[in-house]
Amino acid sequence: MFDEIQALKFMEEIRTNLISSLDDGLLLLVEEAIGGLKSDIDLKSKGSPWPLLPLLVSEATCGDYDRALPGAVAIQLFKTAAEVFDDIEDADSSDSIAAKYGLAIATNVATTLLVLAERAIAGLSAKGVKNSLVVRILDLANRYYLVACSGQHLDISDAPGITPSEETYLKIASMKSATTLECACHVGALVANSREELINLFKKFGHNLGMASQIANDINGIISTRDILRRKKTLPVVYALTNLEIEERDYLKTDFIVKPERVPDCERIRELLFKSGAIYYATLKMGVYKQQALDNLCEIEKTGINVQQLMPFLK
Amino acid sequence: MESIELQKMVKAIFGDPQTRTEFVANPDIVMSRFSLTEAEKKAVMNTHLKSTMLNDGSGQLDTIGPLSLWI
Repeated sequence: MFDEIQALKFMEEIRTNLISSLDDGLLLLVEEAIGGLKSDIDLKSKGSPWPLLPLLVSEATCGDYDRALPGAVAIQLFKTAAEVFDDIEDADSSDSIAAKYGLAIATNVATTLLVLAERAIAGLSAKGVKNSLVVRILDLANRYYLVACSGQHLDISDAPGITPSEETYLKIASMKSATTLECACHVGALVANSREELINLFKKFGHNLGMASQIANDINGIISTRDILRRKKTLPVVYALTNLEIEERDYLKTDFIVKPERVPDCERIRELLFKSGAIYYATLKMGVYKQQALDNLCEIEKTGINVQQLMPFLK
Repeated sequence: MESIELQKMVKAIFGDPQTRTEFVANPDIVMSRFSLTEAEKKAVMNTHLKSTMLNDGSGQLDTIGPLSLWI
């Protein structure tokens, strides 16, 4: 199980990467962008600290997590950069860096985060990771995030009048979201000098975990009405648009696709998505990916690795 | 991968009161009518154990354990 020392070392690694290279004005904004990080790894409020995933994979594999610290920091910085860019592209959040400080500043903050992430990877060599492996990790991190960019492109270039398919939704979720956790597990396993078979199992685990996480986020987006207001065609909406009876389907289509200028009746739509089974279907789908992630962990355990530290992610 | 059979099952459960009653009492019987994968069957059984959505129709998800960690 992760401990407070890991969390503190992780935060210190981030501060070390930030303080030495930024002036005060930019530093404050970058710290604001990653401000949610501290709550993510608050051991008292949540049980699954996503940013520590590379450390937990490394520790489970070789008993050491210190070498993986810069890699974990890099992934978190890449993720934060993607979130800032995402807020710019979606333009639907009033408390984003872009909404509060403008597009120019937000773009610069996101760019800075990308550069800091690259620097963090370079910091692996100071932890004793061979240069050839550092280059390999740099390459794979960039490859993963290029896939995420492609996923984002698919998402934002979605034709407004088209009803998306579940296949498309899953493809976008895989490229945009699952790649982050897959990358996290991949880096953790690589730094621990795992053999290829084990690395592949950890990658699958990370990917399935990422898919489940995205669907959970989408379900929450309906419960909170956040995604209804934003008219995001997430899995519950995709299911409903495919499976509702004609009258209800037309009503939902009108609100989500045909007349986006109309203010949606969030309560009515939320109730419709519950009563139709759309939320239940999304819950089952999330459960499928979690089950697959659990199966991956069982396979990993058969190789002699103690996976108990990773089980909280699947509780 | 899109889960066509899972969609059909959910549509049957939420679209037909008799199928819903049957599913609540014995999910295995309803599941056997659809070609679900092993992972889908496990997900159905796990959710069935933890969810009260079908029973009281309240639409509340806070009885589903896994989500409370993730939301």
